[in-house]
Amino acid sequence: MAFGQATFSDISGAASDLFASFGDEAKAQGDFAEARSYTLAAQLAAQNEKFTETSTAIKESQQQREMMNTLGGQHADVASAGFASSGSALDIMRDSAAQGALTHAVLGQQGLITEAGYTEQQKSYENMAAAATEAGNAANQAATFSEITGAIKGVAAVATLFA
Amino acid sequence: MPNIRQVEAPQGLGLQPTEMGIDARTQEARRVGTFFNQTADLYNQEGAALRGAISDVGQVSNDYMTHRDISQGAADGAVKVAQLNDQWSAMLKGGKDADGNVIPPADPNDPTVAAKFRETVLEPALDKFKEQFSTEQSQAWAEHFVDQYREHMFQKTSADMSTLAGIAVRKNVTTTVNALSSAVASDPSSLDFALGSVDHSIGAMIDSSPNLDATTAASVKAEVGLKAKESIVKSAISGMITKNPNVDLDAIQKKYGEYIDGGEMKMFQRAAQTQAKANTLVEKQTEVAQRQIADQQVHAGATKVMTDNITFDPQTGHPIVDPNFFKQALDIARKNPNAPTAAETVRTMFSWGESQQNKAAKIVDDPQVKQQLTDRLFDSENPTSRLDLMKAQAAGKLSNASFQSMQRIVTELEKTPLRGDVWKSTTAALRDRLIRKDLPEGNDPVGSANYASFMQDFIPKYLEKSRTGTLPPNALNLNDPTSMISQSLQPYKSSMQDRLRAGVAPPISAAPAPRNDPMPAIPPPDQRPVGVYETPRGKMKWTGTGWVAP
Repeated sequence: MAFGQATFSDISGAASDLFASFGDEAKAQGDFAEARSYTLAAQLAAQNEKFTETSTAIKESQQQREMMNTLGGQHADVASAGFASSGSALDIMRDSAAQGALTHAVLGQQGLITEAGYTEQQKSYENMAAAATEAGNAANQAATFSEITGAIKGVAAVATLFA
Repeated sequence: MPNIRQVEAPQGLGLQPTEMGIDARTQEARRVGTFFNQTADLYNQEGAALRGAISDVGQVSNDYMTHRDISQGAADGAVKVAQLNDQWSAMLKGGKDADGNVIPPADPNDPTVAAKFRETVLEPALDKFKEQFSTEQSQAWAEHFVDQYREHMFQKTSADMSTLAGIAVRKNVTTTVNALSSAVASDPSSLDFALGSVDHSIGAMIDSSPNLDATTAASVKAEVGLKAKESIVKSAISGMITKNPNVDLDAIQKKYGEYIDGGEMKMFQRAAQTQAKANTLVEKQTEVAQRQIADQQVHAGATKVMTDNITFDPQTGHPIVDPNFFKQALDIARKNPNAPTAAETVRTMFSWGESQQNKAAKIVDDPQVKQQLTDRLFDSENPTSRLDLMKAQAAGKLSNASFQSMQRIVTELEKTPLRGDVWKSTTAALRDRLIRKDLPEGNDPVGSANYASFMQDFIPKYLEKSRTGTLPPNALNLNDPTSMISQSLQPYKSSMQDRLRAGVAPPISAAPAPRNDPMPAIPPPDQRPVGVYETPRGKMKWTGTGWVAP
């Protein structure tokens, strides 16, 4: 065997693998950049989840204060109207307390729902970051592998000249 | 009417549900889904990249291993193919295996040889060969290689066995044909039987061969059948011609014309003519050979008769002839009537015997005759024989002593001939040194006598050393004063003044008779008494084995 078709085939294979290596490296860089962005997004989502928790607590406190003010004013109104705290007055007061509790509960649940959304968002970004990192690693590995196979094909091309 | 204040729940008091969490979760669901999709996409991307890398590396590795396997495998395959071919060749033709063990040649008529090779050698080797390939492509290549080689070896082993069987059949056919050809050459009357048995024998040999394929069998039948008959017919005709050169070749051609063409018939006609001439020549040569054998028998008989019936008086040196001499000499002629030399030999023997019996006075040597007899001792074509000596003595030209000593030399030379250019040149040089050339031929009796005496003295010594292997390399070198011949020549060599002083002199006798010439001839060593002699070097004393100063 000597210089011939096999030589060209091996050289072309080596060149192809080398350029594939360059492409894989570029792809890995993109993947890692994306992973970093997703990581940041996940961190932001985690922060948002904390913000929502705090915000919900604040809203609940405000709603609690407002409800207590209203109930307090209701006692005053009943008293000023000369009603005894019984009968209908109590029904009114009981209904007000129920409405306030309902509102408080809804606020809390809504906060939890929002927190859960942020938590999911955080996990989603984290997963995407992980997948991007995985893809970047695979691209890096592919780049290295392409370099190796390119070198092997180059050696094979040279070997055809002496075989 | 009193006005009493009351707590009233706000108008429309109630819980207001928030969509914040739902929106966040919905947004999360959308974004997280996107992130997880992105993550999943990235993991998918990593998986795809890893798959591509593994695929690329694996492809490179696979390609490399495939290339390595095939490159190495191709070389190994070539080596393996060569090894298997060698192993098959060794199994087929015989040889040695890797451990040096001798492998006998395969029996060409054994049908299991190829299958056994494929089963015990080829397949295990190919399986082992395939084990070294690790990738799909290289294994496919190896499988293809092995399949091709297996197919090749299947065809090759079958073809080789068929070829081997064909060779064996041809050899057997050739042996059969040769045997039949020999038979008809010896007995041409068996030709028709031989021709009849050829087809039967060849057909049976080919059809019963288990390794011979149909093509080769048909080829062998067509090739050897007609040739075999031609060969047998020609052998028979040759046999007929050998037995009777006047055989009727026309009748033969009419009967066996399909096996002989016109050119061959002409060749046989010429062969018949040649055979006739050869027969005549052989007859003549046989006659000549028989005459030569008879002459040799006459010669041997004469030698035996002389050896058995002639002794020499140790006191006088005269020959004593046994009465059986003449009867046995006559028997030689009777037993060899066809020998051309029989009559002359017997006449010579009778003449010599009679001359010995009638001899009244001592014979003295004729220097010329003695020199000629001496010279001819080393003649390769007409060497001096006993009969020559007998003739010379019967003619009164050779003394008893010279006859006796020369006869011993003749006997020695019959055992160990001294002939050839070396001896011719040596004897010529000796004549030049011992016999004066400035005198008319035959007028240097002293030199001639010295020459003959020297030869009678030197030759037995020379032959003795030659037989015992102690002959020095320079024995015949006359230019080397230390050589055997120069040393032996010293007592016979006259100085120039002595030779001039000798002048013209009458022939001298080798016998120890009184001499009147200035320098009497010195007797041969075996007849030379111990004493002081006048030699060319002056007075020297003969000790029985050599010369010393007196």
